[in-house]
Amino acid sequence: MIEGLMLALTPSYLFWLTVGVMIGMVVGTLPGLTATMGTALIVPFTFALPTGAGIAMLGGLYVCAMFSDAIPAVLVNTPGTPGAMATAFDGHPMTLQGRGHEAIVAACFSSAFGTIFGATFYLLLAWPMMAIALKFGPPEFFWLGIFALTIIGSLAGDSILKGLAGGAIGLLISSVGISHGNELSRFTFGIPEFRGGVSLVAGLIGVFAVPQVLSMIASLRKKEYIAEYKPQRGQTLKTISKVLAHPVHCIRSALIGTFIGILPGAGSPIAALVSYSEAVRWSKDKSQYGKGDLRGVTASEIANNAAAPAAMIPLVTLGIPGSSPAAVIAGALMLRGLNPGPELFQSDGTLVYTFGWSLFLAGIVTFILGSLFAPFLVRIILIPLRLLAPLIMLLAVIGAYAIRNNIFDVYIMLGIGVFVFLVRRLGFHAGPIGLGLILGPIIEPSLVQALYISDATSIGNVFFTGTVNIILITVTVLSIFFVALSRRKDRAQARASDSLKSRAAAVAGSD
Amino acid sequence: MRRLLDRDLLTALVLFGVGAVFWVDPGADVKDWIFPRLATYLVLGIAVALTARVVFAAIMKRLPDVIPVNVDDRIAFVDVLVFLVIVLAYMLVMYGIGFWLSSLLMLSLTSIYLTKERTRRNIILAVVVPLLTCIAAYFIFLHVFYVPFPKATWWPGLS
Repeated sequence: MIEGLMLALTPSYLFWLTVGVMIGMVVGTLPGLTATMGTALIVPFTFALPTGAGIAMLGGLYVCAMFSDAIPAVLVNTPGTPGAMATAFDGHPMTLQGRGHEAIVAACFSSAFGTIFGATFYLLLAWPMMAIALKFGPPEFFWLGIFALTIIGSLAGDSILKGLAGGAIGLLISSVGISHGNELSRFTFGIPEFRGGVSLVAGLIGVFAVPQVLSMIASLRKKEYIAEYKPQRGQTLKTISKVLAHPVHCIRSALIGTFIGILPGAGSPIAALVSYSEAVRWSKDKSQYGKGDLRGVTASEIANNAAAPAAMIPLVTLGIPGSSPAAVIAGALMLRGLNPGPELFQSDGTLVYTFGWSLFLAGIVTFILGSLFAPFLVRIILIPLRLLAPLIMLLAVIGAYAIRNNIFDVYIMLGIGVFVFLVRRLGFHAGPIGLGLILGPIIEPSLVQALYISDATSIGNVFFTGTVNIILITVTVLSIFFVALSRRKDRAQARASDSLKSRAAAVAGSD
Repeated sequence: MRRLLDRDLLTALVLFGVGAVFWVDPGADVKDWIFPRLATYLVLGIAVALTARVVFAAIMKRLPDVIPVNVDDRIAFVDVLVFLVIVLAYMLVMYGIGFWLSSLLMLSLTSIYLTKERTRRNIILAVVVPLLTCIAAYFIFLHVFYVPFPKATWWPGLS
C-alpha cells in the first residue's frame, strides 16, 4: 500500500492525474458528455503512458466529472450528468438566492470529501464491503429502486398526488422501446426510432434543461439575469465550515454513496437520490429542502462522488465493473494484458493500490481546481438571459444528440421538455419525472429478472425473504410512513399559521 | 365555465391522456406488461382521484383553483412560442444546411428576437456571441470529442 502511495505521489503521475481532472471538469460541465464517454475518449491517449499513470488519468477524469456535473445543475438547473440531478434540487434555488458561489464551493468540497471517503474504503475495506454487496440480486435491486422512489415525498411540492403521477410518467417514459421480458417492441407507435428507447441523458436534459430555457424566456421581460451575484471574500472557508457543521450528515451521505457505488449497476444517480432522501428524512428542519438548503447539495454530491471510487471495488476484487466508467477502465487494463479481479491483486497489487491512492489524490486536486475556478464559473449567471437561453438550448441539443449520435433523441428531448414546461403550470415538479426516468431502467429489469427466478420457486420466496429484502421493505414502509407523517405535520402548521394571520388581520381591521 | 379551467381537472385530463397513450398493448406475457401497466394504473388512479376531488369541490360549492393568466403571461407565452417555432425550424433545416450553419442561424435569430432593447451594442452582441459559441463548440465537439454532427444535404459543400 505504501509503495502504491509513493508511486501515486511521483510528479509524472500527479501531472497526468491533474490532466485527467481538468478534462473531467470540461466533460462533466457540458450536458450530454458523460464520464463514460470522457474516459472512453482518452483511453487511446493513456497507452503512451505507464499503466499506473494512464489509469490515474482515467480515475481523475471520472472523479472530477462527478463534481463538475454539479456546476450546470447549480447555475442553470441542468444536471451535467444524471448523477447531479439531486444536486439541482437545492443547488439552483441557492443560485436564485444569490448563493451560487457558495453552492459550487459546497459541491466541490463535498465531492472531495466523498471521493476521499470512497477511496479510503477502496484502500482499506474492499473485501468486506464486497461480501455484503454480493448479497444483492435482482429482487434486492428492485426493492432498492422502490425505496429510492419514496424520495418523491420530498420532491412533490404541495401535491403528493402530482408528485406520484410525475414519477409514474417518468417510469412510463423509461419503458418505451424493447421490453425486458420477451424483448417485444413496446409503446413505439409504429415509429422504428422508438425501439431504441428514450436515452436517459436526452430524457433528463428534456426534463430539466428545456423547461428551464423556456422559463427563462417567459421571465425575460421581468428580469435580465438568472440571479444577482456579489462576490464575497472568504467564501470558500465559510462554506467549508458550514458543510462540516453537519458531520453526521456528511458521514451518512458518504456511507450511502460508498455502499451503493459498490453495487454493480446502481451507480451515482441512485446513490445521490437515496442520500438526498435520507438527508431529508433525518433532518430536524425539513422546511428548507428543495428551497436552497446547503445540506441538499452536500448530500447529493458527497454520495455521488463516494460512489465513483467505490464502483472500482467490485472491479478490483471480482473483476466486475461497478459502473460504466469502471467498465471502460477495466477495458483499458485488459488492453494492456491485465485482468482486473483477484488475480490483479495478487500479480500487481502495487498497481491496485496506486490506483486507489490516485483516486484519493484526485479528490484533493478536484477540490483545489474547483474552488479556484468557482468564482469564475459562477459568473455564467451574469450572462443576460436573452443570450444565455439560446446558448443552453444549443448545448441541450448537442448533449441529446451526442450521446447516441441520433437526431431522434433531440426530438424526444424537445417533446419531453415542452410537456414538462406545460405541466409545471399545473403544479407538477420536474424532480419526480426525472426520478422515474432514472429509476425505471433499474426497477424494471430487476423486477423481470426476479419474476424469471420466481418461475422456479414462488414470488413470495423471491421478493419477501432474505435479510436484505426484509430490511429494504421495512425502510421503504417506514419511509412512506414518515413522509405521510411529515406532510400531515406541515399541513397542520400551515393551517395554524393561516388562522393566526387571519386573526391578526381581523384584529388590525377592528382597530 | 371557470370550473372547466380548474387546475385539478386539467391535470386529470392530462393524466387520462398519458394513461390512454400507454394503455396500448404492452405484450401478453406478465413480464412484458407488469411494469408499464402498474405505472399506467397509478396514473389513471390519480386522474380519477383528482376528478373526484373536482366533483366534490363543485358539490360543496368551493371556488375552483384556476390558473391565473394575465397580460404579462400572454406576452411571455408568445415569446416562448416564437422561440419554439425557431427551434423547430432549426431542427427541420439541420439536415438541409448542416448542423453548424443551422445552429448559428438559430442562435442569432433567437438572440435577436429575445433582445428587447435593440441598441446597436445589443444587436452586435446577439450576433457575435452566437458566432463565437458556434466556433468554440465546433472545435470542442468535432475535433476533441469526435461527435459526428449532421452534414448539409442541400448544398453538400456547406459542411
